[in-house]
Amino acid sequence: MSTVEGDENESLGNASNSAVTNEETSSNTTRSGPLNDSEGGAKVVFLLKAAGGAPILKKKKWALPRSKTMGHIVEFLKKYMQLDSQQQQQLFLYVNQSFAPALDTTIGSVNDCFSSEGTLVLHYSLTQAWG
Amino acid sequence: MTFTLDEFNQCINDLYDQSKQIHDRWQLIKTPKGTYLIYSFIDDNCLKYDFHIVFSESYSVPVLYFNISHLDGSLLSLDDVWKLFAHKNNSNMYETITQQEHPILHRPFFILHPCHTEKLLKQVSDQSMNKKFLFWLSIYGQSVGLPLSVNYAID
Repeated sequence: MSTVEGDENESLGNASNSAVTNEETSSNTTRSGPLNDSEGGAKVVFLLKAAGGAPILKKKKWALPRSKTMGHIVEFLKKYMQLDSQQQQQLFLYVNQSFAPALDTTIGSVNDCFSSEGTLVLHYSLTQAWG
Repeated sequence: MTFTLDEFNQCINDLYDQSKQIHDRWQLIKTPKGTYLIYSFIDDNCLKYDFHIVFSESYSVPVLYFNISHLDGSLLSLDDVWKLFAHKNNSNMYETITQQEHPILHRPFFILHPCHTEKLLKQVSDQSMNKKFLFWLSIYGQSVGLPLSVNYAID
């Protein structure tokens, strides 16, 4: 995932995993047009907000191509936050403070339905849902 | 954070109305023993999913009951269900899918045990009753393959 602000080297270096599609190398650090990358695809800008006992991320603002799914973000967060296997079962992403889209929903369609003023807010929580 | 039976009935009626508006296939079943919602579909692997949303009197929360069957009518066993959902990265959930008698139909169904539902709902305690219900359904449903359109979440 690419970041819109801050030091991109820092976050990409820490999150080295196969779930992340690194469209830019660490030498390509500055990005003036946040919504369109050089490949011509539109990106969705979203804020990740912690809820339900989840750790707060230092980097809250992210950008991803529209075609990436909610499941992609979940898998990324599991690795980025270094969740143990129990915590991994408890990670949920939801929008509009109250709806968890199916994991195969694209971030593009979620953005179209729920973004406001150009930003999409996604809450993530670690909660035991069943047991 | 729990639901009263009246609130539950209101929520499922509202979801049913929404379903009709967006041409989805929820069915509302009213019986003297209670009212519940059903969603049935057949997936690409010819498995038939039946989801029922039923009220739990003891936990005062909705519970998602489900069965999955082959097209010849034979039901998937607990083992089969575990294998089916393992790929959804909820590998621990097999410990918490249990079989329980449907309170209205008196047939065995699988459920995701509701003991943590109240705690989960606290995360949306400031939301309306309908939003709380949708939150519950979207979280539980996504783990057991219930298709739930984003259109339900749009006001």
